[in-house]
Amino acid sequence: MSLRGDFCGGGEVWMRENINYLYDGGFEGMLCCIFEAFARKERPGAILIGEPQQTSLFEERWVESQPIRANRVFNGLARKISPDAARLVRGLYLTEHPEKELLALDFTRLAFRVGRGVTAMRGDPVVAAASAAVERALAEAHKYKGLLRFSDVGGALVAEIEPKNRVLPLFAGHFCGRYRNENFLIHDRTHHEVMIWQEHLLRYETVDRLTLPPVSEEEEETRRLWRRFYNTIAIAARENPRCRRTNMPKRYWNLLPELQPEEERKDFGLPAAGRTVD
Amino acid sequence: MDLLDKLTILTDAAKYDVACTSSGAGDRAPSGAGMGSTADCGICHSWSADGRCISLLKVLMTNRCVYDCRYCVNRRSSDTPRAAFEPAELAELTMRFYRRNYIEGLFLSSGVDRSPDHATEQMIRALELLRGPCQFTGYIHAKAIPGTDPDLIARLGLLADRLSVNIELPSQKSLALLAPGKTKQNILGPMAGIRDGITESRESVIKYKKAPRFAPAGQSTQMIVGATPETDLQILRLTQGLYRKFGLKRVFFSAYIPVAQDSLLPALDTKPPLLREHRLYQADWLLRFYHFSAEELLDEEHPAFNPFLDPKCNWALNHPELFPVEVNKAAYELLLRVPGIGPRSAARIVRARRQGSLDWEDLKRIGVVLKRAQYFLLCRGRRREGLVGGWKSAARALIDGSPLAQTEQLSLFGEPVRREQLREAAVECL
Repeated sequence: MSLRGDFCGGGEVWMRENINYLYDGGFEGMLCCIFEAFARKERPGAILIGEPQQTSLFEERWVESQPIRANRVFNGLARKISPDAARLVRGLYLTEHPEKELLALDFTRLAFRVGRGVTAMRGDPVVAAASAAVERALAEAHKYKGLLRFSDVGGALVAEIEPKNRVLPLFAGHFCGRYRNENFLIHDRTHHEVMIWQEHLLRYETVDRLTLPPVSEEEEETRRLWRRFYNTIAIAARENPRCRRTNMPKRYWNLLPELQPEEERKDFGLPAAGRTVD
Repeated sequence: MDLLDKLTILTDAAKYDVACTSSGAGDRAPSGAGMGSTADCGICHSWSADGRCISLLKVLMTNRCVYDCRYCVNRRSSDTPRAAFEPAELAELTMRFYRRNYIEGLFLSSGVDRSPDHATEQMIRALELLRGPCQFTGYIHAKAIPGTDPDLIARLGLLADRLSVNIELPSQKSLALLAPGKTKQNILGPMAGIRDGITESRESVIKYKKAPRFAPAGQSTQMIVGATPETDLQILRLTQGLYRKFGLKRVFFSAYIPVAQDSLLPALDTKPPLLREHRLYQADWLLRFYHFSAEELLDEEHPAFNPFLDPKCNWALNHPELFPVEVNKAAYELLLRVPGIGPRSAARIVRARRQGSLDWEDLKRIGVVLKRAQYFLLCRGRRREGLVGGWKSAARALIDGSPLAQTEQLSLFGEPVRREQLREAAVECL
């Protein structure tokens, strides 16, 4: 495939190469890895994030992130296959799937072989794995639409989460719409990212640690009221701890003020194991 | 009285109200001033210790009540602390919770303080503060109290996303016996009024985009199960009638939990009939999403649900002439009738089989749960490998173990009943 021509192909026989691709970890970088594989007609053994290592057993190739190439892959999917196919690859990038890049590559190859019906082929192992991974990420984002908790910090709202998938872009529209006239920040502790909605503008930043001031008296009172509501609304005769855990797994609990003991910590709420407070 | 105490009393008094959905208001375009949006699919914000979801701040405006309904915690003769929210106080509390994403909105009901009109006016005042000065554009569910002036209900419906009138008990006879202040007419009257308001509003919204929207998320109702002697068949027929005649979005069932010692009611130590409530919800789902009718699920000879089988399995096992069905050919409606296959799986099968015929492995990857479905399906004309035995062994495998386990526990003190014997008895009953 010439680098100038249309983005297509995928039907030919590809070589399975003992080579690992390395890229910068961004979405464009991932798409460029797909471009690289199509251009060379090879399926790498792995696509990894990071710098080339001297000591690796496999040959490694650094794949530079180039917006033009990334756009060609993405637009190729969106226009020649279907918007759903492009959305699936975009969603895959946000998942926690350990081999999401290879899965995206395999899916893209299949897409260019079979065309627009590809996303309906749930019986195919690649499509099934990709759709399932994306659905899990969307389900997690949906869960957080309910379970995320803001705290008032000097007039602005702050929330912290520990998601498995990179859910921030998946629920950004929801929170920016709902709290359109507030300023807020959501910190993804797992991926060290923050999403900031300030003066009606959205931006993402990378952070290592977030230092927050202690909570106000009003904030504490609100949590106290909420905890009381939470404990009162349950009907004792119907107690069902298993049902609660199924719907709200314990990994979410340390982020929820209603499940903290009545004597709350004085530092910024949402206590979590190993959290440092400066 | 401080806010914490008020909240405690008025939450405690509201907790037996079951409706907690926040869906169906349509995606209200979030724009302009204020705060709040509604999601079409509904969002749960927490789950309480009883496993029920919390999505709305569910409280009463007041628990003072002139009625003396025998089954109700808030009845006039009950010796319980009383409180009332100031409209401004409740509006502010709602905003504080909503802003922190604790809740999806407000579920406001009220005891009948002085008169239905007075109680409704108080609720309207709180909602007017929320929709006005607080600029709240999130979800509100309000109770319409039987006996309220239709003009007041009309105002309430313009402020709320959903309205509900509690039908309370499944028959007029039970109502007369236990809720002397309420009659079938003064419950169904407002229900019909709300239905007409919704229809009218939908029509005018088509003509003028900015026309005021009356209860855009529709209306629902709830009834208590197990306090009175109605059968499952009666309850399910009533439910079906409510969906058909009043266009209700949801009918909720609430297993009766004894709150008062009364000769007309089950004893105080009666366990709430949770399994029965569960079966009613399963059947309700079949009415709404699976094109079943009440008469297909129960009849005069079988007026109660089978405790050992969910209603769909029960139906399927009683219709061996229809099964097994071929996955690659069966119509969507028939796939939907296979136990274990829901609207999502059925839609996926129909989509996927256009790309090529499906085998058992494909079905698994598609995400169809085969535990129950395997007994009722063929793939490319073949049964699932390793599946032996006939209809009866299928029935045996489909028996729901949890009620059996309960029976075994009970029998420790009396005649020992073996679980296997019960299982066989349940199979024979089919």
